[in-house]
Amino acid sequence: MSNAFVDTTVLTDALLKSGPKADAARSALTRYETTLLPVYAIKEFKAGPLRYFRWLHNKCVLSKSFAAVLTALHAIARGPQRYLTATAIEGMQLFAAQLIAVTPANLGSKYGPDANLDYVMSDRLRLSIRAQIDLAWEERREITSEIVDELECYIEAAPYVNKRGFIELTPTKCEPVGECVLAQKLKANPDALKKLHAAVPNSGRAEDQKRAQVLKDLYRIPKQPLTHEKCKALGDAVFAFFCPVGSVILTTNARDHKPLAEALGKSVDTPSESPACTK
Amino acid sequence: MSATPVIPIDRDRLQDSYRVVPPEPPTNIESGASTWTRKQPESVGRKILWEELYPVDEVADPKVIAAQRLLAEAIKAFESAFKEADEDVVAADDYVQSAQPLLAELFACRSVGEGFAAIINALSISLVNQHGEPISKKQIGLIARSLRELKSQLFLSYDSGLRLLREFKKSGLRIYPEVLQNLDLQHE
Repeated sequence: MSNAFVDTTVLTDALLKSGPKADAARSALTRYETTLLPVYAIKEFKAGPLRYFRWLHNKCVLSKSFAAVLTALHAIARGPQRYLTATAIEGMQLFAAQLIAVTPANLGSKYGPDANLDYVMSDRLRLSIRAQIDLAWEERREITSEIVDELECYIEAAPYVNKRGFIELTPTKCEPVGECVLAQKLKANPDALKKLHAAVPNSGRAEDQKRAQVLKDLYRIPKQPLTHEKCKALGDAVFAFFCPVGSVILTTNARDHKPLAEALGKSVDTPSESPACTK
Repeated sequence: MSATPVIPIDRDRLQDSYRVVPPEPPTNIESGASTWTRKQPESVGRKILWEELYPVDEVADPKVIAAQRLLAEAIKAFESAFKEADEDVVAADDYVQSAQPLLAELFACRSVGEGFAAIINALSISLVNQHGEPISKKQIGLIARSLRELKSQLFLSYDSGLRLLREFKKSGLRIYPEVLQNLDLQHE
């Protein structure tokens, strides 16, 4: 296969991560003659991973305290992602310890509140997140050879900092005038929608149930508009549907993509982390 | 459409003070249009030092003065490291290490500007992310050049700061805290 249709997970690894995951994503992109990035992936990237970064950035702006940021992370660590969040909290503590180790002790008396270590660490985190969001956004259309499936109803506006210092990501939703451009194309191929619907695993996961329902509605009630929520629920099915014949879907989430892609005679590939650089 | 007023131009007199430069790249403005840039007298070519523009006794903000002093020290450290990089890696790394507390102190002066803060922060974090491994000569050179640029334009805009951050990334410096890799990035 010489063409890859890139999904949001690979875009995220290439843009927001460093180390083995970023290396694997970028190296996977070089395996193909042509790499195609649908604008739907950019939309998902902004509404998903960037939203999390924005939350943490704005927490730093509001609290001006690293301790308060850690407390906020602890508070959300009770959810289903608690393992990942616990790892993040440990990482935060290590990050602070490493920087404190190279910081002279007497700075507070010389520079006042700007040198307060709790504030310094939160401000370092704020600046890092802001830079990461801005650079990721700048590079989003540069990591693949082509951008495909433009969404006329989606305004791809850059993240910005408002007058209170908070990062804003709006708009993250499409604003279609009339029928959504994706919906038109999807509804034009009810056979593919039926195959995708049949391929959604009966896993009991809310994500799969929603996806199945939206796919069914699209071919059974085509007059019903595809709302933002429904479009979001389609997720991986959009990649299976729009991946051109002869291309593979490049994703880190092969488990979810594979049944959908195979239902339409398409295949899935994943970036592989080199064992030498895997921690 | 209203007629555009025509101002008579004495070309000989004008060309004494201005030189004509063809627009590049071509624009869709009327054909034959040219941009006019002022011919600079020789004295303008000389680089004006920061100290001449802002004499120490006239700068009110002590953080600006401290930032200038600390930047000068950090530049010296990285330039020394660059000189040693081929011959004595340990000496070069020693100079780089000596700049780490300076960068930490420079971060306390971050109210100078967001471009300044972004660069100093990225450099401090890059050095911490080395975990003791020396940075390359190319990276040392890039840091020295960037700090010189920052010293000559202390109030660098955030966007110009981002341009330098991009260069740091390209050179292989890991400018973000490693902890950001462990954040939950699963998209919904």
